[in-house]
Amino acid sequence: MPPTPNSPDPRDASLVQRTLAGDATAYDRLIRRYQRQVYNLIYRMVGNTDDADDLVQETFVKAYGALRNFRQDASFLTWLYKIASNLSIDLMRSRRTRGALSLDEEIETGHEPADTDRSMSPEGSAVRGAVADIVDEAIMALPGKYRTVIVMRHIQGLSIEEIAEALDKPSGTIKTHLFRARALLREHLRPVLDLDSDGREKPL
Amino acid sequence: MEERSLYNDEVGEFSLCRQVQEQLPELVEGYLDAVAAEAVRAHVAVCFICARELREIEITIRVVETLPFFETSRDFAPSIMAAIDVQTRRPWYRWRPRLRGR
Repeated sequence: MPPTPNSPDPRDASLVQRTLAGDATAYDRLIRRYQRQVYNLIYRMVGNTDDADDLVQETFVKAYGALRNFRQDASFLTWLYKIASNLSIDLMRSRRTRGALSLDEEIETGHEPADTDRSMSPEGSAVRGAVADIVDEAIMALPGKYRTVIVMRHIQGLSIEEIAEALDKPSGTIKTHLFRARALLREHLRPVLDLDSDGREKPL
Repeated sequence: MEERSLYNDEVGEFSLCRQVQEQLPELVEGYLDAVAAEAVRAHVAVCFICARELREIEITIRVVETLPFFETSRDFAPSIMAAIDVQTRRPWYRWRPRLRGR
C-alpha cells in the first residue's frame, strides 16, 4: 500500500504559498513529492505508459494554473487526484470519439485497452506474479467509473469521503460504485480465488 | 436485527441475510458502528452463506491491495516546469491591451 497522505499537510500549504509568491522551486518540490502517486492512479485508470506520461504532465500543469483555487485546508494530493481522474476520464471519452471504443464499452462496460503496454511497465509481467496479472486484467476490465473507485480506494488508499470529494459525487454514490465494482471483481476473480464450498480459500 | 424476520415469504428469500450482506462491505471498511458490527458478526458466525460472502469480499480486497505500485523511473519535474515556464510567459500580442490601457 502506497503512502496515503490524504489529510491536509501544512508543508504542502507552505509550498503552495511559496509557489504563488513566485518561488518555482516550491512547485518543483510538490511535483517530486506526488508524481509517483499521481502516475500510479493515472496508469491504473488509462492502462498504458504513454498516456500516463502525458496525463501526469498535464495534471501538474493544470494544477499550477489553478493553484489559486486550491483550498489551503484541503489535501493537496486529493486535489491532484481530482484533476488527474478528470483528465483520465476525459481521455477514456476521447477514445470513443476516435472510434476506438464506444463510450458504453469504455466508460460503462469496461475494456482491455488495445494499447495496454505491460511489457514497458517497470515491474514487467515476467517479475510479477500470475495472480497480480490476473487482478490487473480484472481491474482494467471494469467499467471506467468502477475502475476509478477501486483504484482510488484500494490501491491509492483514499477514504470514501476523499473519493467523493475528488469525483464530486455523494459518498453514497461512491459506496454504491464500490459495492458493484467489488462484486464484478469477485466474479472475474472467483476462478482464481477458487473458494471452497465451505468458504475457505484454496491454495492458489 | 431479529432472528424471527429470517425468512421473507413475500420475496422468498432470507431477508436477514440480505440485510447482513448489504452491510458486509461497510463492516470490512470499518464504517459500521460497534453495535451494528457486532450484530453482523454474530450473524456471520452462524450463517454459512454470509460467512462465505464476507470471506470473498475480504479476499478480493486483499488481492487488490497487494498489487504492486506502478513505479516509473521518469522524473516529471523538469518537463513540467519547462511547460509551465513556456505557458506563463506572456506572448507579445497580449501585452498590447495592457499597454493601451495605461
